[in-house]
Amino acid sequence: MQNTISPKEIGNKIIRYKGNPIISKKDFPSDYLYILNPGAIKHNNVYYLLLRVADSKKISHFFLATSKNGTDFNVDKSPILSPKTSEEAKGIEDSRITKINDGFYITYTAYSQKGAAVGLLETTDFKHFKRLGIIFPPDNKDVVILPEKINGKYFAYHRPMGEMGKPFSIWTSTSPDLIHWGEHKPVLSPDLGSWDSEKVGAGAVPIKTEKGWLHIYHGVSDNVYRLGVALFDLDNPAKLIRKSKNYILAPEKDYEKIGWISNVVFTCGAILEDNGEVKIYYGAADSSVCLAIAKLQDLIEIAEKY
Amino acid sequence: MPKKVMNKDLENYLVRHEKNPIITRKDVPFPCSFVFNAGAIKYKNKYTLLLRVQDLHLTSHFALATSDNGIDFKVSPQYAFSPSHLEPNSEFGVEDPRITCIGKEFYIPYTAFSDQGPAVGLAKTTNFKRFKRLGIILPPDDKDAVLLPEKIKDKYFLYHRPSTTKSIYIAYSRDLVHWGNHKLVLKPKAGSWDSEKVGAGAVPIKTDKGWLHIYHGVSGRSYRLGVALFDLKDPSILIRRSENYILAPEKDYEISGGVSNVVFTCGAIKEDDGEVKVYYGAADSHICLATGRIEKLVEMAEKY
Repeated sequence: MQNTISPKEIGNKIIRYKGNPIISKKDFPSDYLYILNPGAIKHNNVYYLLLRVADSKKISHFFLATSKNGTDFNVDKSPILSPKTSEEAKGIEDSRITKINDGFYITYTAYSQKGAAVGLLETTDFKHFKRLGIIFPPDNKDVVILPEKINGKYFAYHRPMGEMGKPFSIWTSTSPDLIHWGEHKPVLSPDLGSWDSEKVGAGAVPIKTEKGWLHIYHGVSDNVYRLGVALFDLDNPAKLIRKSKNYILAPEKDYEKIGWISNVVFTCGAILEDNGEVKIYYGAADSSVCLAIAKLQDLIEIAEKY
Repeated sequence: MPKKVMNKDLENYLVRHEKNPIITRKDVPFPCSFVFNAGAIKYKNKYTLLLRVQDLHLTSHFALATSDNGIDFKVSPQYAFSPSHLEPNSEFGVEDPRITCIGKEFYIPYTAFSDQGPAVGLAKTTNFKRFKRLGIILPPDDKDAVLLPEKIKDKYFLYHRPSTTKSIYIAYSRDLVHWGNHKLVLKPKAGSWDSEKVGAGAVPIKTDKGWLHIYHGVSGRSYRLGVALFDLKDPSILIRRSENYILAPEKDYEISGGVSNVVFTCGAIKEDDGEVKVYYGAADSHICLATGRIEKLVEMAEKY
C-alpha cells in the first residue's frame, strides 16, 4: 500500500486555526485568570465546549460556550458548574463529554487536599448536571468513556498516578452501568526516549473508525506536553493496535509556549464532522483554548504507520 | 468526659499469645525468606490462614495454614496462590490477603504488585485449593482492601486505601467486580499514633454497636493497631475511632525483622464466646496472635 503522507508532512496534516486562540481571558470577567482544556461535543448542529476556567485563587470551574460554526463561540457570563463537594474543594477540571443514548456523561478531575480523583456528571441539556459520584479514587485523571457498550460493557480509559514514581500509563476498565468500574488493565505506557517518555494520558473521547478506536492522547517528555494518536481494537478496546511514533502537535506558537503552565498542548475533546474533518480543541499553555484541524484519514494513517 | 486509659489497662485489651510468634519461616516446609500478614477465617471448624510468604527472590505468594485450635498451625507444602502470567499485573508479587465469606464462597482482595505499582486484585475460592481471579478491582496505587461479608441495601462495601491519600476510603458494588462511589471515611489524625497513614486491617466484625474495624496506623515509622466503629446500616459513616492504639511493636519479634517496628493485621476471628483472635504480621517477618474480648474492643472504640 502506498503511503499518502511522507514523515516530513506529518506536521502539515494538523493545521492550527488562523484565529487561534479561539477563546481566551479577554472573553471573561477580569477575576478569571486562565481558560483551558474544554470537553467538546456537537449536538443538533450546535458545538458545545465545557471550558475549564481558573479563578483568582486558581480554583477551576466549568463555563459553557456554544457555537454554530465551531470557531466563533459565545461564552456564558457565569460558571455552569462550580466546586461543591469535599472531593472538589480545590476545583473541577478537564471535562470529557460522551453522548450515550439521550444523555451526556462527563468525566472530570475532582481536585481536593486528597489529590486528583475522577467524578462523573450526567446532563441532558447542559443546564442541569447530576453528580454520579467519584468513579476513580485518587490519584487518577484523564478519563474518557467510549460512546457505546461493547460485548455488553462500557469501557473507560484512565490514568492512575502512584506515589512511587511508577510509569504514568493509560489503563482501561469496564462497567455495567457507568458508575461501578472494574477489570482494570494497563494498555498504553510511556516509550523510553520518545516524545511520550514520562507520562501518557487519554485526551479526546475516542473516535470510532473502521480501523479501530482512534485516540488523540497526550504524552509528556522534558515537561513538554504534546499530542499523538493511537488505535485500539474495535471489538476489544483493551487491545492497543498501534500508537504513533511521531507526535502530531507540539507547543510551537507563543500562546502554546508561554502561560500558566508553559509548553503545553492538551486536548479533552475533538469533533468528527460528516466530511471527515476532525476539529481538535485544545488547551494551550494551560491559558487559552485553541483549535487545530485534521483529516480523519490522515490521523488513522499516522497511528498505523508513523 | 471519657477518661484516658492507662498503659497498664491497655495491655488487657489485647493479650499476646505466649507461643508467639506462632508461625515463622521455619514452620514453612519449603525455602522462604519471611512469612507474615495472613488473611484469617474459620472454615469447617478449622482455623484457616492464607499466609503471605516471601520467596528467596522476595516475591510474595500465598500459602495455606490450618489449625484445630487457632494456635498450632500446619503449613501446606506448596503455594496456594502465586503471581500468574494469566494476570500480568502482579509479577512483583501477591500480598496481604483478606478473606471474606459471602454465601458459600470466599472472596479475597489482595495487593497485586507490578511495575505499575500496587493495585488491588480479587480472587475467589470455595476450598482454598483452586482460586478464580476476578481481575484488578482498584487501579494503582491502592492497598489494604477489606470486603464486608454482607450486602447492605443491595450493595457490597469495600474499604480501601488509595496510597497517595494515606486514608481509608469506601466503595460500593453490586457484583464485587465493578466498584464506584469512592468516599473518604477515615484519615490520619495529627499528633496521634496514626498521624501519617491509616489502612484497613482485619475484615470488620459485625457487632450490635456497629462494624468493628481493627485497622493500622503509622506514625514515626511504627505500625500500630487501633479500633474504629462504622454504622451498621451505612458503613460509610464513622461512629468513632479509638484515640489509643491497642497494639504496638514492643517485643523483639515485632521490633526487628524484614521491616522493623510493625504490627499489621489482615484477619481476626471472633469466637462464639466473644473472644477475638487477632492474627498479625510482626516486623514483616513472622505471624503472631493476640486475643481480646469483642465487648472490650467495642468499648475501646466507643470511649478511649
